[in-house]
Amino acid sequence: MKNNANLLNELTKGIWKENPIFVISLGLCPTIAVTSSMTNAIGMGLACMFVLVCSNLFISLIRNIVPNAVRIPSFIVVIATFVTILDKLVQAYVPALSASLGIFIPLIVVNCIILGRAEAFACKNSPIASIFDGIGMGLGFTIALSLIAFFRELLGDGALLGYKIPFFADAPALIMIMPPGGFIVFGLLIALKRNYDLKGKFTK
Amino acid sequence: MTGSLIGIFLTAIFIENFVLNQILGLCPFIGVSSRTESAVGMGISVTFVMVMAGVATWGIQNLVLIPYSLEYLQTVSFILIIAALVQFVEMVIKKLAPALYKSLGVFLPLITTNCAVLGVALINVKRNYGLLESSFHALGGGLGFLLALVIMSGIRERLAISEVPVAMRGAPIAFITAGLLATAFMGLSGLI
Amino acid sequence: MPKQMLKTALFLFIISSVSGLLLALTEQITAPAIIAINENIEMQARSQVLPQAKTFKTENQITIGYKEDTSIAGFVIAVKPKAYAAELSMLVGIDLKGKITGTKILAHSETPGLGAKITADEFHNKFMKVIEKIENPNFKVTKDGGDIDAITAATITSRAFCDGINEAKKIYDENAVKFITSTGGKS
Repeated sequence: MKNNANLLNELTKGIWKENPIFVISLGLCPTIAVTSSMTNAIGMGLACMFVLVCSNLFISLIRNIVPNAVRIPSFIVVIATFVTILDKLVQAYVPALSASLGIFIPLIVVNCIILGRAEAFACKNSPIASIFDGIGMGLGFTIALSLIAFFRELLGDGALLGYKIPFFADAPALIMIMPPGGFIVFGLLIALKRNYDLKGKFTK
Repeated sequence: MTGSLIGIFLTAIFIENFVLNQILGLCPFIGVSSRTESAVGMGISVTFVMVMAGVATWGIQNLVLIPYSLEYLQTVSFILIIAALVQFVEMVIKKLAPALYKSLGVFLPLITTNCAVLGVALINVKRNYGLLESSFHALGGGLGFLLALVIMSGIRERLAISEVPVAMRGAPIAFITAGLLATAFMGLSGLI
Repeated sequence: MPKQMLKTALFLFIISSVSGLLLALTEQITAPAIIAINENIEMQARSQVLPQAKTFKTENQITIGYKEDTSIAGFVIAVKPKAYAAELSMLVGIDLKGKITGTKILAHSETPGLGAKITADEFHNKFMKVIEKIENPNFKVTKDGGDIDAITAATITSRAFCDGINEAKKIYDENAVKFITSTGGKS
């Protein structure tokens, strides 16, 4: 029973309490770059989750035989391998996503979330727990990206998931889907969450 | 993008600024930009790594990966080269500028995971740049990163002594400032 | 301690080999699909600008399009005129009579909502109407005395488009004519 409760905890902590973007501030680059549309955001989130789960699992499996001196380079090789596999799979079977995410797919290899979780969790915990940690963090990342993309796409393009929304599509604020909009929406969302943590509600 | 070296160089600094236009290199941008001293130190270190990485990755791509049809090893080999270069730069800085080494702290090894460094290598390959073009592109990219960092730290030092609402302090206001900076840089588009 | 170093070296060797093997395997599995997709995209773009052609062959700067009966349908020319933010990568289809059969923007970095409208159907349809109505159109924006309506507030991008068209026509005049006379209009 306790084991199951623990595993559930590993899964859910990544969504709110230890959300990789809003709390730990890891993996920022793709956060602002791919959130101009919800499809891109969800695609990137799921792609990262794939790499995260695979690398967490693999690293947890080898955690006892990795010589300490080459820990980080070994982790990098593992992560880079899975990122390349993901890149090829997406290019071959979801080419539209490959075209819209561009270099941000290979850039997943330097997404601090993945190396961060490998260092902080996978190399110290069991494979099963590591899988759950990976899924949880991946979910948290995907949800955070989608939230930012929700506002940016709605206000900047007048659409959601590519479908035009009547009122908003009439006069979209284009700056929202460009870099400045990304920075600003992100900053405001962090502030909102901070406020909630401090005062128990989202505003004032 | 006229293809000329100066064009590539200037474009990388002002029109396709790595941080403010292409959104690469954010983690250290937010983490190190609160004080101008560390911002300058970080900017110069990153520029150094970017140029060396630009040259080294060009070499690997064109002298090894393409001739032997090993392009699928690109991600792995590039990131390992960058990791090795950063280790090297760390040792150099520790020996030549120990004060800088201390002030940069954990952000120095983190240059390995700086999207701008791997990013410039990937873009060089995508645009089929030659050796000289890759170097100028990397140099411009690094200097653009330095520029953004220095401007940002100047603003943040002032923000630190102004009245900011509690929930906005630190990261939120930094991002909103970055957003305004990015808007300003958008105005430079079309200059070249 | 040499034994420790040996263990470390062995570990690195094993992990690099496993990684290399996995990647080579993935490459084998996905390469055919990726190549097919890229060829498909290229084929689609070319067919869009030269609808009558069924197959294509590229020689030097110019791509020749052949009809089903292997006679030449026309030519597809790729140009990259300098636009506002960066280049406009475009394909221009020209038939044997020197008339433009279609254009397609492959890539651009123009501003969304302004220069980016260059890829919109509205602009393309207006452009093709000009070609239909006028015998030998002057491919410049109306501001410069030409026949093409520029996109509102995106004059530079529109000018770049015209530059691309004119450059394509120049390449056509220099190369295609030679090709037609040398092969007599057949492949």
